[in-house]
Amino acid sequence: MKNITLLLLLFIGFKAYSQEYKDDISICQFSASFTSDAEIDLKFFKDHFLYNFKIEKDKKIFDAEKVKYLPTVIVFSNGKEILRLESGISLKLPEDSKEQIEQKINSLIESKF
Amino acid sequence: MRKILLLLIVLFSTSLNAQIVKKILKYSTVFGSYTESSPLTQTSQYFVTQAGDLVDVTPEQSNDYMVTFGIRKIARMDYENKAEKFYDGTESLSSLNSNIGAIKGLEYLFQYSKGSQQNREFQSQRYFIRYIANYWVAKVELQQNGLINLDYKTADLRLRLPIGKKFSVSAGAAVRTHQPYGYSPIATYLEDLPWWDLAYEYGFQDNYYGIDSDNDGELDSNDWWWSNEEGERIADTDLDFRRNDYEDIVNDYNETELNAIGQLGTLSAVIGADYYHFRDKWWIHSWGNIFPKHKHIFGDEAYSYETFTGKDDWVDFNYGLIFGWNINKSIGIFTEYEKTKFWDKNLVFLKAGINFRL
Repeated sequence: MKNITLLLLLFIGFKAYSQEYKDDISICQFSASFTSDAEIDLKFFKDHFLYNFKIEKDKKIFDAEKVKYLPTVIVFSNGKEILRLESGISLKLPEDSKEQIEQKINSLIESKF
Repeated sequence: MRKILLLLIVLFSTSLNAQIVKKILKYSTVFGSYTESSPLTQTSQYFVTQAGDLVDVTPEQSNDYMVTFGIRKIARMDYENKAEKFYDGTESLSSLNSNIGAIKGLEYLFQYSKGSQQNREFQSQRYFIRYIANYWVAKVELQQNGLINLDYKTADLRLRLPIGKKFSVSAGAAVRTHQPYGYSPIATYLEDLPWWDLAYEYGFQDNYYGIDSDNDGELDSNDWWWSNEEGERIADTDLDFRRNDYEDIVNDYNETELNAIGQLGTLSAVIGADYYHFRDKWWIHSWGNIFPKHKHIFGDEAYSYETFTGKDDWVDFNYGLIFGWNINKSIGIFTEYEKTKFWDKNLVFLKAGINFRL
């Protein structure tokens, strides 16, 4: 019984760790070295968790999140995708990307009060 | 030039202050509420006179009521639902008990209540301010509840080390105020003096009488009847007096003596840990704090817990666990457990349940 509990805890811990980039409010930018000029600066959102994934290094995460365009920004809240901004074939994120992210995060925080 | 500079400084600081105030008040709610309800139904009480008349002596009770007003900026944890559309001051939030909140930054609650319950007037207030930064956390809390005679203040400052996103440990110091726990004024009084001396101090008087049980003209036993300050007979025997009147004297004596000693302050080292994980499917929120070392810092040291126990390294602690699991679309289980051991006080809260959605 003890072993089963331990295994269960390890499994839960692993499951929880393996998707850590989706915890709380996380902003993930999916890009590649050849599209780094088109990325947006996420420093403005430093109060939240920020991730910069590169296709060269993090292919598995790109596949898991079904990223089609580079760059793409995805905002997660407790494992759920709440906003996706894609560059499309122009390889350029929308002009108002920061405003869209800020608006989404603000409404999310507001809903907690 | 000077005037322009001064004007610019005033304008700048006004605008800066306005921005700070706006930031502090963002997401906050000012609330006020009034509730009134019938008191709990009381069992009827009757008295039969010598002549055999029945008199209803059930105490009349007015409606319970409570007026509350305050301002709050406390974020709900993801597993907590907003109980009502509006805040009325009766909300209980687990985030207030743990070391982490649902958001980083400033959270606060200032709340004042006044009312009557079971014909007892009361006032309650709760003030709570917490700031959570990446690597430190500060908290100040004051709770006074007239209904349960609670008077508790605490200030807590810690360094915090997040380990991953979900787990964090913290260490620092906390000042807690408290009553002189471990000290019982009545027990000390009765060590040196007989119980009836205290009754005399409160103006009661005993009067000796002998009892001739078998009417043989000789006294078989004796007792005392008691009178109050006005000379009215209030009890026929010692036992009758101790059962019906002495309890109030003891309570009043304890309260008066403890109030005379006043509040004591203890500075304690504190080490804490927190874990929080939330998904719609399952969540866990746990926290714990250990206070292993203490120093009396204000109030009468003769009544400090340090003096009472004769050591400064007793272990106070509190911990809590909230867990929920939606096993499938139909079945969900949940549990909440909290335990606090501060000084000689032990508090436990447990809630567990299961939901079947049909």
